[in-house]
Amino acid sequence: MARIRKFRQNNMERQLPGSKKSFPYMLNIPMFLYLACVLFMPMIWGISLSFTDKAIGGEASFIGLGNYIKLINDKEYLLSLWKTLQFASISLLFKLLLGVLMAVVLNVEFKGRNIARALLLIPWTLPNVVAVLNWKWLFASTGGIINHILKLVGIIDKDIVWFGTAGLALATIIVANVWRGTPFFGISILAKLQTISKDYYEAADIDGAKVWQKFFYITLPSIMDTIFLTTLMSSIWTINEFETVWLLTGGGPNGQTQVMNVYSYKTAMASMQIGRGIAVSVLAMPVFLLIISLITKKSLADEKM
Amino acid sequence: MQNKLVTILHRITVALFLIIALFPIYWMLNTSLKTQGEVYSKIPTFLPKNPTLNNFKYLIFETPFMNALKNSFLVALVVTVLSIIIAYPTAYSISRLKFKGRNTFAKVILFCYLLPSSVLYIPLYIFVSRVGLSDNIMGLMLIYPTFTLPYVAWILIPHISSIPYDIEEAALVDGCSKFKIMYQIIFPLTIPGVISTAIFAFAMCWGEYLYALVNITDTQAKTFPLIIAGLIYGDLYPWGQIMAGSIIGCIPILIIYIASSRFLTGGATAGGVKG
Repeated sequence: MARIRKFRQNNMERQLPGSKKSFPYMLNIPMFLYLACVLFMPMIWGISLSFTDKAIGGEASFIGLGNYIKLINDKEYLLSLWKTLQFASISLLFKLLLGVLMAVVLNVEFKGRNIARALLLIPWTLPNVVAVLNWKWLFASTGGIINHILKLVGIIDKDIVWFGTAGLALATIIVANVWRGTPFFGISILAKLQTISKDYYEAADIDGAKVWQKFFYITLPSIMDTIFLTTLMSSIWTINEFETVWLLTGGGPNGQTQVMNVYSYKTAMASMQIGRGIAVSVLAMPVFLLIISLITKKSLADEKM
Repeated sequence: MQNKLVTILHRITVALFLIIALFPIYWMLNTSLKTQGEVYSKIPTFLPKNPTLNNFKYLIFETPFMNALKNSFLVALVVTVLSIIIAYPTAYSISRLKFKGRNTFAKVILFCYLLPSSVLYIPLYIFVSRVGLSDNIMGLMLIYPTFTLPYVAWILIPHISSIPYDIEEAALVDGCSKFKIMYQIIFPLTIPGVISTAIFAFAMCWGEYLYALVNITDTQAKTFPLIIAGLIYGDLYPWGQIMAGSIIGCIPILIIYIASSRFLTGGATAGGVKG
């Protein structure tokens, strides 16, 4: 033992003097140089453009808070924030509930469990564009299978125009997002479930605990941390959702599914008002920064960095 | 009695999950093998009456789809390899070496990984056009590491940390240089982690849509998500072709996913797909 400790001491000392001290920094140069040039520089420059009237192909001149003032007075923008909140909260709730359920049923031993787990992961491995186009076809008003099934079981008697009806259009987006996003919750929570000691459940069985009691008193408290972290991470991606909405409804009907990113895309790319498009992202930044700082705190504490 | 009921409920739940997860995929395959006439027939058929590969043939020979697949593949491959090469030393230094600012570096990496593309796509659009790479897959190769690099570094850190310190100490005793330890001793031990992160980095680039949509308008430079999404126009969408394209687009992902499933360990790498 003493020799090992001595060796460790020597080893620490070896790292200190002279050129060796710069070794860790050298290893980090390529990555941080890239991030500085391609991520931070453009981002800061972009933020500064949000104070100008920059349009595609045009010159930028300083207009102060002009873009921001226009935005907060723009009903379409405010509606897009409301729609983002609606979409993200409903979607996250379903992903979380179904994800917990998926993890719990997969945590039970049964024949074919490994195959079931692999199969349930497939939606989440598909490219999002593929998943979204698939749902666009399933919900199609002409030839779509969902209308057909609903007619078969007698819930509806006429084809529904899913993407053209306000509430239903939002529902299709949520369904597509939940279908693809649930396995992320499922697999993360399952990984945590498998670390819970079986002793707790055995002790509970001896005491005659019911299934739901075991769930609420043993399972749930042990996965709370994972639920918190997974939900936070997924909330960034859900608030950030673009292609699901853009490809399914394009934001219609009447802006009823136009989430923040679709609004920003239309403003920046279709109306060519780059400055105002960036201002939309800048206004959302505080929310993202808050979520990111919560995640950082949580995950760095977990790993004792 | 209670146990039996629970078991039945459990099996039903598993079955429901499987049906919901797999039905859309079965329907995609089913549609891709139908003629346009059958796709739009009054009563949808659950198996194609006259299975045909015409949708695949049309897509492969009459549209720029194959070229788009090649573009997607090139972009994803180059970005993945570069990301591993660049992110590995960073991950190594953060999990193994003690230096001032290590904590901050870790925080910056996590920050970049979580930063959504909605914040970056417009600035990067301007950046790419300034350096003259719009309408060029090189532009995408320049952009995609903004999300793959932090992801790869962040996921590799715990992988490297899980390797016992003793191995490194033994190598130091033998007089191994630090570079040698990093590349010839620790890197081979990290291979399972590297493979699973590489797969997800590849998948992230392969299916990426927003950056490609904003930066690429030239058909020659389009990636496959743009081409299949671009088939949506007019009054009657060619669903057979769109589904055929979707299936071809899934195949590489599913192949590497199945082939490497033994490396894909639980939730550790799960953040690779954002959903």
